[in-house]
Amino acid sequence: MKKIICCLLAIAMPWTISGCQFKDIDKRSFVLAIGIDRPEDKDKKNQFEVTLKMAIPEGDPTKRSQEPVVITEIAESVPEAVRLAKSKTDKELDFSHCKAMIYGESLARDNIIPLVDWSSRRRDIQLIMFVAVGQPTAREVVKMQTKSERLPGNALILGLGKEGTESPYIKSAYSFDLSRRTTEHGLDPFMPVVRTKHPDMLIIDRVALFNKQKLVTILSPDETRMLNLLTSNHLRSSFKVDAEGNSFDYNLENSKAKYRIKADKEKKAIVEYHLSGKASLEENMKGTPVTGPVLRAISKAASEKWERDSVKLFKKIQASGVDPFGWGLRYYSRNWNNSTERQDWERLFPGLEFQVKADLKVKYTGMIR
Amino acid sequence: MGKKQGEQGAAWLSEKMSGQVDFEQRSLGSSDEIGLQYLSSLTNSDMINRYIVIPSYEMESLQAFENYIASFPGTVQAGERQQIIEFVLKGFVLISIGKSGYLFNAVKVESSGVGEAVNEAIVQGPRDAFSENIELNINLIRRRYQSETLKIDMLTVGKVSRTSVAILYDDERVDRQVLKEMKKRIENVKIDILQSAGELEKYISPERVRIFPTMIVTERPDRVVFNIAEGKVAVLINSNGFAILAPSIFSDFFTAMDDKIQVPMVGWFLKTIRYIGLLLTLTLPSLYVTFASYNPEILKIQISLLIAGSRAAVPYPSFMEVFLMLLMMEFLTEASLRLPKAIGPTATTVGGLILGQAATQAGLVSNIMIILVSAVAISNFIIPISMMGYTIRVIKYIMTLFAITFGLLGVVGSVVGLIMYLSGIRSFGRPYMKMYALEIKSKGGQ
Repeated sequence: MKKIICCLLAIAMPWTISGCQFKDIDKRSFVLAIGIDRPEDKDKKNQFEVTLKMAIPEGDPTKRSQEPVVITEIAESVPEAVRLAKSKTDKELDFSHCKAMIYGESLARDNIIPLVDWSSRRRDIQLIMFVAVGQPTAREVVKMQTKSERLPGNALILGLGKEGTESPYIKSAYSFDLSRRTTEHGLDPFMPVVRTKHPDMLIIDRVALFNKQKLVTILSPDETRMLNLLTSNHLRSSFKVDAEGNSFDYNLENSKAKYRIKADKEKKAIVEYHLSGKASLEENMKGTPVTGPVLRAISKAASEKWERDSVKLFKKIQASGVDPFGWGLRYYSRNWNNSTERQDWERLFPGLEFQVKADLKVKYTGMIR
Repeated sequence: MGKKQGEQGAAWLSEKMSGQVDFEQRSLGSSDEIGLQYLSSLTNSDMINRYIVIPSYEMESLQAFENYIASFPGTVQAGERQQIIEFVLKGFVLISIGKSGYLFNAVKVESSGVGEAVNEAIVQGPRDAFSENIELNINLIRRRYQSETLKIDMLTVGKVSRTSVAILYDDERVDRQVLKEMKKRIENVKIDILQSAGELEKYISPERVRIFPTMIVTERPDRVVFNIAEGKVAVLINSNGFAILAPSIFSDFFTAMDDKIQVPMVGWFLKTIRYIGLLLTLTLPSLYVTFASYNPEILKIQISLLIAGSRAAVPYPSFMEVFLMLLMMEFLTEASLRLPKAIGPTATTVGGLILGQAATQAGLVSNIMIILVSAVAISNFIIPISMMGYTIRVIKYIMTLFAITFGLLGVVGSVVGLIMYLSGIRSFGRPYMKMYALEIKSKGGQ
């Protein structure tokens, strides 16, 4: 009997302390996207402008798109702004479903470190959140209500991830990866750039490269695609190539990129890339018959184009002094001596040479004439 | 040849059948030259009286009687020992006249009292259920288990009711310890009146707080036969159409007699479905409370907003909603159980359709809650043995309580705790959570 009473007490006692955690789902408003800018006001240059896009659940869930609620708040710090925003809503702010964080371009060109720290430190913000740079401002991006979205902010989330569209021009970045890249030596952060196009469109086709704390350069869409090809396997995209006095389009079905760094003692280092892929011919501008030799010529021309383009991209990235590929990390891991490898790499980096060998095979899909 | 064996057969049979309560031996004639041997539970005593006993005193000579017996269409001359025992177990009477033996057909055909199984209905397979008469029930089992190793021990329980209780087991396959324990426990029952198997099950269970049944109470003779062949002990009670089977393990309660009949793949699929149903009915209410009040981040945002949207009009916290609807569901189940068959469907319609529909429209409970409650109820009904179904019905409330206090941690913790508790239970000394059936003990059988 004593035992049972003890058990009951043990169960009943935490009941009294669980109070604050218990908050019904309809008493929460879910923040789906955060945008953070520097205020336009000159006097508040060092403050933060936080924009929260929230879904307030109401009534019939089968009806199309609930109206989002967007709150903008300016404060000295982000937590302060969030606290101010709390007093503007009737429900508890819940960040647990926040899947996108947009850094305004002005902020990104200044310093992202405190925000990366805040977002990865907060318990209720998940680390699988997508991060991106917003143009012209994060507020514009977050406020944008595209026609296709049923849930507030869903277009942004689907666009940044791979769940919806799978564009070769989108290089998605997660919060956990971003915070790792801001601290890891020899590996620098990047984020996709989201632009608004009025009245109701979001365009994501560029990627912004960062040194540890601020935006350094923004790559063009073609360069972004090349970066995607070089960093991820199984890219699906179509490319254009000129061969045999004709212009062809091929659809890449499978790709693979490997590299190694050949370091000479103290003098220079060569980054050797090996790209391979399988593609099928998609468009033939002049409609000339495609034979084996023509296919081989197309493959050769396409491979050479890859080699040229990638070296150009490498040179550009090298010139801007950042390392989104993690070459530095790779170099440390293979050439460590616990003291000088970082200095060695710093000395080697400006003089890096690039050798790319591409091996693309273009197939001809059968056609019934 | 037949003559010689007939005589030897009689002696052998009585030795073989010694200890069987329903085995009877009679001697007829002025100097006991006619011997009768039969199983009383299987034979029609009226027939024996009319066609054997009375004529035996009326016949002029032994030879005439022998000819008379041999003239019956169903009568067979006794041959090998195995044949004799097979026929006796079918309900034939072994008549030994002098040196020769005859097997006389006096099979008792009990068709009237045997009804169809209601509580454990199956699609294919035998439909018989136990009747309220213990003789008939033993007959039902004997007919399905035609082996001389099937032993029956009779006991009496109840100071006033004097209910006869039969313990059935296969002498070769039974677990002796279980048998001994069962006998001891039944002998120790000190009550005035015993009327049902469920009651007896309660009295012979070890005394402590108990929520899981450790003995199956079934109304299907085929299940009893199947379990006796597995080496279990069955207990039949007079005036009650249920049998107790022991020892029973957790997975026994999730076995329907259909599983044996189906194609193996289908059988496994059905068994898997039952365990999924078990998991759903246990966790759905508690997970709803967790997701709606503690950890909405686990779900996808679409579902979160769906739940939030459908809960927007509901005035009280999620656990009140859950308890209210679950209780409604229990009332509905109980009500339709006790009502006369003619009113039953009306109650379900009124309760299920109108109540559910109106409750959501009035904004008292959310749409999702209605779906959830019906899912819980339906998946509860999947469990083939109703005793286990009742237990699971109770346990889901305990889990919901844990979910209310500790959120997701409570749900996980209570599942772990449940498994630990189940692992600790013993049914007649056998581990309860052994997830496969007892091994068949075949000492010389097959």
